[in-house]
Amino acid sequence: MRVLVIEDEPDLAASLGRSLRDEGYAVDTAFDGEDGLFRAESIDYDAILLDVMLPKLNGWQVLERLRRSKKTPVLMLTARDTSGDRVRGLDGGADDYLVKPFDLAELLARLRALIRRTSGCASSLIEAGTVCIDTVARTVTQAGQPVALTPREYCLLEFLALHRGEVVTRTTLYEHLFDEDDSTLSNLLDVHVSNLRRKLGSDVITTRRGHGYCVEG
Amino acid sequence: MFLRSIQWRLQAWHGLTLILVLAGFGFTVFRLHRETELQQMDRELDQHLNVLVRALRDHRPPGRSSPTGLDHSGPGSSALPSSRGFRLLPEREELFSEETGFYYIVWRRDGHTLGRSTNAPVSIPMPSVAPSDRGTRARELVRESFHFTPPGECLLVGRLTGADQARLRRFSMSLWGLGAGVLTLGLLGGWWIARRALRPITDITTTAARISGGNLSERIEAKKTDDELGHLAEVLNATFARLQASFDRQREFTANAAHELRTPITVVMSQSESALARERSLPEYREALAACLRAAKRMRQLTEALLSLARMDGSQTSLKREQVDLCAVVRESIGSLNSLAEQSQIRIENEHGSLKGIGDPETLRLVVTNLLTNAIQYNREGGVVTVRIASESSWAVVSVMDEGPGVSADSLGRIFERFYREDGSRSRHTGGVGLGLAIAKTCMAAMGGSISATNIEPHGLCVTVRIPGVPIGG
Repeated sequence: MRVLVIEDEPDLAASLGRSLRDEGYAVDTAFDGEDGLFRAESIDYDAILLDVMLPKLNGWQVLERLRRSKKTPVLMLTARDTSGDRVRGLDGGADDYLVKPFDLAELLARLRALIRRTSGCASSLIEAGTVCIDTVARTVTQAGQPVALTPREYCLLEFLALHRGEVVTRTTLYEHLFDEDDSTLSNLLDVHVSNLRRKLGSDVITTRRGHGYCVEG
Repeated sequence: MFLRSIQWRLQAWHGLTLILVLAGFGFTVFRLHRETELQQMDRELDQHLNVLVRALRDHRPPGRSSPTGLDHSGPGSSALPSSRGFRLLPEREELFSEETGFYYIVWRRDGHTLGRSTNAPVSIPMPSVAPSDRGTRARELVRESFHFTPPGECLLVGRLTGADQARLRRFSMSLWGLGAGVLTLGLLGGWWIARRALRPITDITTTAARISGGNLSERIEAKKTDDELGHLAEVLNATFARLQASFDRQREFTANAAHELRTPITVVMSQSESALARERSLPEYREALAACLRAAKRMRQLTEALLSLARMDGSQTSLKREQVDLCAVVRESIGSLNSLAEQSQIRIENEHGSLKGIGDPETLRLVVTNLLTNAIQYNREGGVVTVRIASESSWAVVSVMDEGPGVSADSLGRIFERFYREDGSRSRHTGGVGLGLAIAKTCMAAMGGSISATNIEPHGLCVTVRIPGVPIGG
């Protein structure tokens, strides 16, 4: 999962980035509205955390312009907490709204829910065949037996499971699993896939040669 | 409870006045009417008595005067001779009949009845001798006039007054009825008028109660603006408007202050939560602590700014008004900012000289330091801050100019607003809390001075403060 944080307070952006990376997200950061909008328009993020008070372009303007081209889920972060502000945010195309100062746990839960909703899952448990993924605890079980995965492997499996039934291209996988600071070699993806097959069985992830990977629904 | 209401009091006075007027009027009318009736009756009785007197005189031959006095014969007399007494001629007799209601009776001096009309009541007491020869008396249901002739006969004409009294009673009843009607109408009309006159007050009261209950945006509807209540409504509306404006300003200020405090709190919370979430490396812990410290410093800066604003807002009187050497103030301020200027590689140019103004030195130093800090922080790298001190008519003027980007024409008038920031964001790089210029403005207002800002061509901002100058010879 790749998330964009648009926040002009560097200390807040840093702590958000650290917490999100801890949760296995790939995180990009923008410190002003213009930069944020540019990134949001050029990459398909799984979610965007958007502050309202930003230099150059404020959060409302970023949201308005972004909505002309993209449906990326947006979680607004703001210190303004009147119901008028909330309504304005939600009506302006934000998918959720969180008032500062927020609880990190709540932010993460809302973010998970946001991503889940976007991919059409209502539950935090994803089942694909005998494999069951708990997106809250970030654990995977196969036929009731827990399977130990590295964070990257988990992220790869979660992404494919969220898009189960679809063929996910390698490019998409790269875009959603690695942030711009990652200088991962392209064959690393194949290593993760083969590790997952080894741990979960070879039929869990199928390869569509020339297209990408797929987890059957 | 009713007496506390103006409407009920008005109504009570109105009713009382109306009752008094009606009673006086009715009583007078009744009296006048009865008087007129009686006079009329007495006149008629007199006329009838005169007929009788004439008849008796004509009846008596001149020169003769017998105590019995009656020779009831003779031509041309109006009375007919009668062996038994006195009788009127028939056409005169008609005057005294059941139809006219009049009767007469004539007594001799000794009380013997000489004559009477047929309709005269059976027992009529003879009037006692009156001081004058004529008199009127009223008995039960009759009124009588009598006349004593010189020889001593008594002539009495009477009339039954039962019908008259009944008429008078009816008249009095109709007066009562009329009075009651007028009173009812008057009370109803008074009630209506009082209600109409007082309804705006009730409206004003209800609206004012609603407004003071919390909805300050509401206003009293003033339909008629030219009457007293219209003026009252206007005055109240103006008061509410001022109140609302002041509340709004206060609310906005509080919201802004809370908003400004939330950002550093968010930093502290998320930094510490994220640092505590798992085992971290030493540099990571260091960085988290440093971020928390930065946030705490920011909060300190903000609370200090808020405090000094609050102090300024409420302490106009405690400021000193003394002669201040502006140049000394500027020199001291520059001295305290030297290290900051060096850090930012900014040079401060100060034109030397000496100029005195009237103000509070501490406050003035705070303002100048504020302006200089802004000029350093918003300057271009390696830029120059110029301070100019001058005298303009009755003002002592300090101008602080930077070589930064200036501000947009829109913002020029707004940069003195509390928490106003040009780009709408926290000035991350400059570390300001958005209150410096607002504090400066409040300080200048408290000292009876002013502050203004203009852009300099080609780039830069000039902020000018004015305080009252020292009068010549002062």
